[in-house]
Amino acid sequence: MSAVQKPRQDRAERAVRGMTGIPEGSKFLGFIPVDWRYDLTERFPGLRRVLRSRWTSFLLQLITASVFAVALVAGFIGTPVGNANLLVVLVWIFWWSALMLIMVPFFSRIWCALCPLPSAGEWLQRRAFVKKRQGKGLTLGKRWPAALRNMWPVNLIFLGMALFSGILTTRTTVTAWLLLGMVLGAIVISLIFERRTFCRYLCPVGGFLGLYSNMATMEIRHNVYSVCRDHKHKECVVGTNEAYACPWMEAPTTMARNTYCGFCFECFRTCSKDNMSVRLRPPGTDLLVNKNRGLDEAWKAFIMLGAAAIYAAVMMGPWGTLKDWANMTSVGGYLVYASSLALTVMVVVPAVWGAFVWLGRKLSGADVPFVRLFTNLSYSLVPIGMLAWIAFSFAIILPNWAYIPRVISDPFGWGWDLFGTAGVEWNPVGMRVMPILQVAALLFGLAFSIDVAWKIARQTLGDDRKASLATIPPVIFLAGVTGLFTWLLVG
Amino acid sequence: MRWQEIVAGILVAACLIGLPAAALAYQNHRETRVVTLEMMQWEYRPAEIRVKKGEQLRLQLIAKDVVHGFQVDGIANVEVRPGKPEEVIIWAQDAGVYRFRCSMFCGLGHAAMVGQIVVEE
Amino acid sequence: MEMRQNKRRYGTALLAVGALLALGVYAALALTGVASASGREPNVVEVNVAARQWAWEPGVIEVNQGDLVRLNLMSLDVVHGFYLDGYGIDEALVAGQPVTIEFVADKPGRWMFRCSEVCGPFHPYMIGWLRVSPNWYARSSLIGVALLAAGTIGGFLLKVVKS
Repeated sequence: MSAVQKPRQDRAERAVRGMTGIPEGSKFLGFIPVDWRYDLTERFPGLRRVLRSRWTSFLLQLITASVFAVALVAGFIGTPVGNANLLVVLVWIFWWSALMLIMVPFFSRIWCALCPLPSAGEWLQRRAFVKKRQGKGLTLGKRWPAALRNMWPVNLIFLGMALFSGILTTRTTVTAWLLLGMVLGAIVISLIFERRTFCRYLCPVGGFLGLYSNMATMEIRHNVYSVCRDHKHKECVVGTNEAYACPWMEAPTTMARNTYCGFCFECFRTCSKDNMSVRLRPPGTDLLVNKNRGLDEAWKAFIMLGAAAIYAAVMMGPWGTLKDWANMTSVGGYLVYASSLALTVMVVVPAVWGAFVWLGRKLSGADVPFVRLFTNLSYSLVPIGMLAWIAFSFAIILPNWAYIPRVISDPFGWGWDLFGTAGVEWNPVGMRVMPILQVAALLFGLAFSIDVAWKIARQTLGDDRKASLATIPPVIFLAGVTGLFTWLLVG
Repeated sequence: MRWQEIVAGILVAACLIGLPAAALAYQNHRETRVVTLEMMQWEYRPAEIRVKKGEQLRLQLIAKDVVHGFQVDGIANVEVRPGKPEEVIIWAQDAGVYRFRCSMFCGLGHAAMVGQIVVEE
Repeated sequence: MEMRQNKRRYGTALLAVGALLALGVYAALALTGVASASGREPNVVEVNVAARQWAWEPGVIEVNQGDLVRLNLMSLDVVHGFYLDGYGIDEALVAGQPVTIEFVADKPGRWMFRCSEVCGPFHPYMIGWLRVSPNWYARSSLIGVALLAAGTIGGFLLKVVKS
């Protein structure tokens, strides 16, 4: 173990250096200190040893890949009944709920450490499963074009998928083809482009995982800044003989947000100073980081917020026509549905939000450019968006959990009973508690969003009076959105 | 460190090829009866399918005219479009009579479109 | 610097008070709402409900707490099931065969009724709403939203006036 100074002092140093732009002493909701951290790797040295091992990532991926391989086969040749097919239940009930309710809010992009989709591509690219192999890998190693080095490709790919979500979540072969396509796509991309280009710039899941993991209570960061600063040979950026340069093309020495950190733990393996750490922290701290904000990520926030409302209406709503449209029962109906979905998330939500931000800017008389205020404040949509998805996901998992033990015993829907759980009755649990959970989630999301909006406005405008006035219209927007979700989910 | 890669490679092959292969082998060692079930307005042909207990029934579903469905309560429910045969595999573990019916509204006689699987001891 | 710090505390404290207030009101309403019966004379509400792939007709049913609800259910196409969240009622519906269920709507709130027999691809999304007024869940949520918004906007205005 190398130099571990007082982390508290180091954080102060960082704030002074303006690396994150978070004012010192900020408190979420007035009582959670934004710079509170609990260093797990310092507290549990065994954890660091586990993360340093190259086998950790390999085994994690292998476990999920094994399940995925069986599920994919089930998707293609198992029963076409979604609820009885391992693939659909595993992905759209189990994985989705685990992702939204547990993984992203608490463990950031830990899913990316487990994700089986890029494994084949990465093994080929590295020509190795576990150890680092010297020499050139099986890849042209091209850099992703600079113009596309942002979240726009992901936004569009995600939107393209979102238009088919009704079909996608209910048809086994469609899900199977999509996931197989992603595996093959990841292979092709990794043969042409360097490292995890697919994960970072093309994976449709990666976009919202990245944005919403800003809300996570866990982070991977460098530990003591001065150690990184004084270490001229940046091993985490260029790699060593034993471990790879950051596959996600981040610079762990200055990384300030979870957005593009895929929890591959490679930086733990490159760092000869043992200066990387996994830490617990208050949720949402990355939203305040005044660095690398952009319209691409702002649009990701609009898409996710709009999609949550539309899915709640289509999947949990009482309107049969909407369901027929989403199910492509008629071509015309589907086109109406798809175009209004695309229009809502890409144009309507940003336009309405923009109007409220514009009003706030007028009210406050602030002279910062509108686009900057608009971009920055858009990050305050992340808490309410995420909590709305959490509220929505309760309504996925609680009524439908019983399908999970069923497909574990009968993955293909062929009448097997491997573990004696094939006969578990469909039996919703917690239905009376669910509305309380949903309301609590929405109110927490609103409070958090308001707080983040206020903090960002103050950070952007640098003046309490202006910030107060500029935040008033966005607060009304956020309240309206929460009201809408209240109506959709419990009204 | 060559051996570590070999161990890893064996693990990968065992898991990613071995597991699905084992699953298919587990399925295929059973006695299988293949039956083609034609669906048309408003009947199934054959309307009765007999299998022995423990046998596996591999049903090839073919819709002859319009979209039909094949629903066995609690076991299967499949939508079958004309020109796109579907396959359903049912493992007859318990003796008895299992009724199936059309699950896609297919016209006037839709409600009368029924059949049964008889699982004999 | 010291003053700025104090002002910040003031603003965030307001927000915290608003949040706590909202949660308190919410908890109180949720608890009393579940416990109290409505003062109104209970009515008998009879509704014919048709089930088809993959929707209920009507999709929304409105009753008051304490009402005796009689639902005449019938599937128009395939075998469906009627499951009512919160009440735990579950009935199978064979096409063309009417089924009548009766229950006292003693639990206020908005409950989903959903299909409980796998009836095709969109089966999990075959959902309708039973609204049993007063819907304390939605009301307390809206009260919470209003309190949070009004509290913070009031706090902001106060801050502006003072500065």
